[in-house]
Amino acid sequence: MIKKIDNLFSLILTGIIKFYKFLISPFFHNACHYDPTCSEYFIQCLKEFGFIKGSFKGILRILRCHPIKFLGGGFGYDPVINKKIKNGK
Amino acid sequence: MENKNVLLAVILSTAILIGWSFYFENPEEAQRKRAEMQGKTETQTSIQKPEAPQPSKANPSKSISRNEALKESDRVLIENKNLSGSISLRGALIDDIILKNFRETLDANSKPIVLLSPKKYEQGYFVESGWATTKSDVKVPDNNTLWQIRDGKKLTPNYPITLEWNNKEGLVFLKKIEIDDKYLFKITEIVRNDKNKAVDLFHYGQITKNAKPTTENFYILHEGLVGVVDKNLKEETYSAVEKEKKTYNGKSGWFGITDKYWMSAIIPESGKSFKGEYSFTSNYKANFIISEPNTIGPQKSTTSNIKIFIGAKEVYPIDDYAEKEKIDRFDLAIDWGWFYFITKPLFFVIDYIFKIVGNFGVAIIILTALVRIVFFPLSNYSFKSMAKMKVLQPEMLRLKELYKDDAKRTQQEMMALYKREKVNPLSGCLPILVQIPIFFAVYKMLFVTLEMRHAPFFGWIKDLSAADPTTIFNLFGLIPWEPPTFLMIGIWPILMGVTMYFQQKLNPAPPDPIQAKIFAWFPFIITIMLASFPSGLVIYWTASNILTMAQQYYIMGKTTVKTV
Repeated sequence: MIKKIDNLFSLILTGIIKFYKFLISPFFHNACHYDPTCSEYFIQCLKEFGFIKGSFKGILRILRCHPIKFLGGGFGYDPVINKKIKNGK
Repeated sequence: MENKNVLLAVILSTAILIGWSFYFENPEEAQRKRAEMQGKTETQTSIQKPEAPQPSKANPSKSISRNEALKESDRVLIENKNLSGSISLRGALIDDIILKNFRETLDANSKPIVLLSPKKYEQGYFVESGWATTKSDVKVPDNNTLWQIRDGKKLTPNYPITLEWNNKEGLVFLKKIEIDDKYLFKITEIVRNDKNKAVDLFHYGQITKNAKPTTENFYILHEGLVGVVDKNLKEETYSAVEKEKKTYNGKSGWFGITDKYWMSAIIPESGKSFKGEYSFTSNYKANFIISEPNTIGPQKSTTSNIKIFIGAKEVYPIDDYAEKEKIDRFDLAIDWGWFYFITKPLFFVIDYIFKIVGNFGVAIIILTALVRIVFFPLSNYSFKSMAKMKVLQPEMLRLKELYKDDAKRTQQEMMALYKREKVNPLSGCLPILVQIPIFFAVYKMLFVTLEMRHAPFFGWIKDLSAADPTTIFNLFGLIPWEPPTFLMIGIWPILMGVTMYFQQKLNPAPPDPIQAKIFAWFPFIITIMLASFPSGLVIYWTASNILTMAQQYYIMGKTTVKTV
């Protein structure tokens, strides 16, 4: 049951992010510092970690996505890493 | 596959938008429903705690005019700088309030806003306070009680009035009514017990509205029942209350009925716990009743107070009342929304500018410039690299072509390219996401605050809170034809679309072809969407576009790029 609710929330949030990615983010000219982009990262996190932990990780990523280095701003290739799946592809 | 989904999403959202406006632009439906509800009879079961009494029903079969309704009872006149009206001696109802300083339309000769009306009138809307009892043998004043004037002639800020009613069974009720310069009434209720037996009475206040007004029905604006109970905002729409009665218990707060710009509210005496209620039977009611009774011993008297706000939701008076009268979270009467902490400061900034320049339209443009300046360091950062990126685009395309089967490799090569060219690309997601709430706050502020109502700009814009009244479909008034609402696309929205188009041209198109297509349609879609929005918002957006372009030109001109 909890799993189902979690999935539902994840699905809704994924929808919102996809909507943002396609219709709103072009306004800002692909500003993201990272690969995969924050939206893709967020969606992937929701898939891997579920709603709560996934959102948390996604938000952390957004908080890292800015040009000021000493405040944690970063750059480059930064994939989602799920430690649980060691033999994953 | 992905692209198909996106197209589907676009089509669906358009359908929803259109469907939405059709559904909500249909007030007849709501009217009909209400009429049905009115037909139902009211069943009121008496329970241990007394309820605020129900006023006798207005007779819907014979509708009378407001003036005829006013003449049905003797009245005490009310007058201050902002309000005029009267109190009905029958029931001691405040049921005739006109906001002298606000007019219905832009025309200076149009009627002033009528806020409260007598209960017999179809649009009746009135406020009362009084005492309720659990005992059937104690006579308390009700809606039809005829009060006598004991003191005063006309209610003005320096001259309170006192009303009196003797129940002829040993209880004498007095009401001392005061009013301030703005919108606040204070009623001190005194009951004297001449009997040999103690009496328990519960103090209450109640607002009644006979008919649902035509609301804007816009999701960012609350209209209907509103209140605060122990610091928590309690908002309910008219239709929600029709379905279900809402009850709240608390120790501090207030209850009211609000329109977009006007409100009436009742505030219980501080420090007493109360039970508040929003309900609908044949009319909408917001009321409270004090939980503990006032016990009046033989030959003793008791007092209770109520404050009543009836007026316009002007920001400063509302805040003043919240602070000076210690009305808990009265500032929430204005629907500042989720971004209260941004929206409200923004209002103070714009109001400050307004007081210097004397025009809200100009103030909006200056505010736009200020927002730009605050975010300039960040945007400067991103524009700089964007200008460079545009030059780098051929190289990027080449890389993409080269590693088109290896997305990861492409990305790595791109990053390497950025590093080589010293373009730390773009501002990042965080700075952008931070700006979105600010945009919404500007939008909400323009939409919600009374100060924007009937505020003129230049030329044909006479009201910043209303849509641009011109339309391209009659060549801006050259053809004597009044097109339907959805064809009202005025000069400002078109200006907005044009500036947006040029602004887009300055930037690289998104890489995905479908996305690029949608993006190309954006100026057009947004023009149509914004056409019906407050013109102040459209002016804000246009100014913002122009400033963005100017800034970008300036930076592009300054940046010389060397490619390897």
